[in-house]
Amino acid sequence: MTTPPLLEVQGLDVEFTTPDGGALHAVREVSFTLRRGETLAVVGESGSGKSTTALALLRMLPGTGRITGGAVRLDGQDLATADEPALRAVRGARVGMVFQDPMTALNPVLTVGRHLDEVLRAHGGRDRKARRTRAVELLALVGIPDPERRLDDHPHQFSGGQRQRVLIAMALAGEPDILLADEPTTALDATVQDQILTLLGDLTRTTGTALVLITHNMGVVARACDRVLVMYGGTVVEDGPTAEVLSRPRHPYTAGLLAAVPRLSAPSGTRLTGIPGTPPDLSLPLAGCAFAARCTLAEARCHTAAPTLTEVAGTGGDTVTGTATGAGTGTDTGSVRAACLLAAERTDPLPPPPPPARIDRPAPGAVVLRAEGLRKTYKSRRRSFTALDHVSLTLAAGETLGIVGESGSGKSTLARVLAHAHPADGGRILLDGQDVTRPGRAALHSVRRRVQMVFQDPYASLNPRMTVGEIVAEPLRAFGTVAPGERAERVAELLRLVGLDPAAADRHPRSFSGGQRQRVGIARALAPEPAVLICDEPVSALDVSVQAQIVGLLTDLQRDLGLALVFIAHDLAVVRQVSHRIAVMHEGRIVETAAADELCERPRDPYTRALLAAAPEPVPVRARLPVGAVSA
Amino acid sequence: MRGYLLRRLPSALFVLLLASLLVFAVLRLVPGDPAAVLAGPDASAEAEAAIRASLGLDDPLPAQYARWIGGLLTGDLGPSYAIGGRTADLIGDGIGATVELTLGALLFVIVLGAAFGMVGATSRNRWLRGTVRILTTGALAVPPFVTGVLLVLLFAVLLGVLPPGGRVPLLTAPDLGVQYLLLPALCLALPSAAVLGRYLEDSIGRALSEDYVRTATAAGIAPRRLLWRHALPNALPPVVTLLGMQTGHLLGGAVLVEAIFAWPGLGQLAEQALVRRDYPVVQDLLLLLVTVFVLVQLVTDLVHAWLDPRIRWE
Repeated sequence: MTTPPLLEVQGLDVEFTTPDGGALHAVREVSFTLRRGETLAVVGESGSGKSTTALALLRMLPGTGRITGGAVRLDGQDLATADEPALRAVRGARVGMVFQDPMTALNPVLTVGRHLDEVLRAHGGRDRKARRTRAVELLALVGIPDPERRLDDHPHQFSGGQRQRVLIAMALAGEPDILLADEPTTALDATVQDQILTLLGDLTRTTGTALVLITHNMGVVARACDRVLVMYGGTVVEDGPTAEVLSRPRHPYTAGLLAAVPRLSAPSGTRLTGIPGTPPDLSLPLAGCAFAARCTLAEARCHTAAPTLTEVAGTGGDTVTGTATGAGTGTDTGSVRAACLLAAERTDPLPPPPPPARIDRPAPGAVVLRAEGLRKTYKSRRRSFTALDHVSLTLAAGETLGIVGESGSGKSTLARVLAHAHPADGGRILLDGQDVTRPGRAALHSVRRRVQMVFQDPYASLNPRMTVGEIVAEPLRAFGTVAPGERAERVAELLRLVGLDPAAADRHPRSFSGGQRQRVGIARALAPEPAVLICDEPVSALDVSVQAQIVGLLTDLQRDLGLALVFIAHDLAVVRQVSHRIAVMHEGRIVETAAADELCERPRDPYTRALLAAAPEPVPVRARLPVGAVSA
Repeated sequence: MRGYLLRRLPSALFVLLLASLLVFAVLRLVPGDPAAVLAGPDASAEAEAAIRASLGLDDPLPAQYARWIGGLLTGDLGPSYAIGGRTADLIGDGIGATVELTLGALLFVIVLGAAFGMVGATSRNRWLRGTVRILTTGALAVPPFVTGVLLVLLFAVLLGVLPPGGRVPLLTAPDLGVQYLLLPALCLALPSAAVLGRYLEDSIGRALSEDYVRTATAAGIAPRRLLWRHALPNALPPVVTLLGMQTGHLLGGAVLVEAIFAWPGLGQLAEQALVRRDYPVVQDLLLLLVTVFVLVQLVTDLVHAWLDPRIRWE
């Protein structure tokens, strides 16, 4: 009962130096413990400090990052002060690490066998043959078929899910006590994510390895871990058993985050719940609670007194706060700790989130865009790839058509073909009843005016050298819709329309957050007064608490301007709430189109059913049915 | 690999054809008449016309072109107009010297470039990095005819340890040959070595900041191995491509350097032939240069594919 913790993090502080010489306090006073064989999720949004904490544990902070305080004790050895050789003996041997993007995390010029061999060699494997045998075992362990032969293949010959399996095999090669996985499934499709989470769960159970899973996805937390640590603004705000935290959050941020996760059960036309405001600026000193500025329950003292992580009344029972060393922390799995002045006193549950509001939207009007039998094939010297295979759809004014599918299903190609960024190889596109499949120069110009696009990555899709005003004014100049003298006024109007201060026009994209940048992208798309707006994964790069604001903005704009929206996303829950109808894409074809609620409640195509089953929900595991695993 | 070479062959031949047309046309567009040069300033118009007729310069241009290409294909390069002797012999006499100089320079480019690049990318010593930066900037900024003169001044005149010019074939007397080769090869190599060093430094720096290096770091692999086994294999392919292009530079630069160091190579021959409008010699030399360049590119691509498994099968 009283085994000492395997890993004990105490008062960890991490700072970065900003380009102008200031300090960015990315991790503030983070404390937690991890016991042997435990599975712990660290959840938070971008900037919460979760990944920085993970990297700090192994002293792998990038750039100017450094640990400025606290201790990281692994079986009593303080890693925060250990020297490089000691750290190398820990990395890969006692703590294995898995990173987010399997496409870039493997070395493209080394075979998979070499990857594993390097790790085994670094940790004392002297015999070449024995290392190879072990590498085959490891590949088999993570479920790569035909491991003996695949050992000599290079990373590009594996799928994304398989590459993540290889990375997990690398992390397990040294038989570590802890597996540290930083967003291991974020870059993967839902069905593959499910398989990887199953694998991680099975492996940690059979090998007794403790798992620290860093994620922004509450669904993944529910699916994979016993305990969860919620981070916000560089601090831990809540720590407790997953089932308890998910069903009865004590910290208002946890509650807000849970409410913001789109639920598959929410019907079409439901407004997404978000958390108003933006995350704190970590370069500023923090006086009170990091969340106070966005908290609806905050009182005056929340802004001045910093809360400490303390046990909440009525949970766990017999243990004290987790910062005590050694004995005493062994039984705290049952207790919930929260860093909230009010939570420490409150005995009732937090007030439930307000019931989801309905989107007041008029019924769709006449058909504006029609596609018939669109085909698109990409050819290289050796093979050709059919991205669109006889795709037909209609879109009415004021209607939102959701398009879902996994990566490679052809959704982005469809968006580009509809927006005339790529020509179709076959089929017809009709805009307002006119055939615009192969428009001439002048016709293309007017088609582009009527059909605009909003892109996925608000960081890459805005030119960093242009001011926001120039970015929004560019389509005005290109289409000549507004006289030069009136452009500034129109830009201000557009910025107001998307909820930005017109004064933003003089600043560059870098001084805006992700959500604000996406607003700029939407303003740019609206500038030529289009009839159709094609949104390709418009919120997938944004945090859940922010995505509600952008989705809300899009639906409001649709109501006010009568826009027809194509809403492409991989998250079925979001798509259901915003869309009138949903089309499911698979291998270049639309396998099913139906009214949004109909499709989610009574899916007809087996692929739609698989997609629905794989969507992670932030509900404790015991309340859900298990999903069968298929090899990636 | 054979399939790859076969696929590349048509485009290589096309480049050679285009180059031959260009070389042929440009020479005839440049003012100056070989017959006039041969006849001398005091010759009569009749004598000049007779020479022109005897050289076949009165034939229509397509016929002249066909004669040249036909000769190339049958291995008969024909006589030189002005220098005397057969073109093939002239080129044969100079090619050894030029190959020696270019290979010597290439060795310097690789060794110095690698040293500059590795120091720039990995040294923790700020002074050393600064020195390399100044050296490479200098090597890039100062043209070979200045560095050549400076090298001669320093090593031949002031220190007197190396000969200022001339050549002893490396194969007949290696010890003496190296002494003659050192200065011209270094002079020819410096700008390319600087470019290569800068590029390698940048390429290693980028590879070291890639995700896969982070993966390897987290697996406990030592920094030295990270550099040599994980980052460097990724940093090399683009550098190899650059090296291929720089080899072309070396061939072109040899003309100038041979003049500075009285190096009896093809550069010297090219200069003489150009001044005297010796069409066959100039044409053959330029086409030879293009051929070597095409071959170097082909080798570069093969090495690139060998280093990077992702493009091996394309």
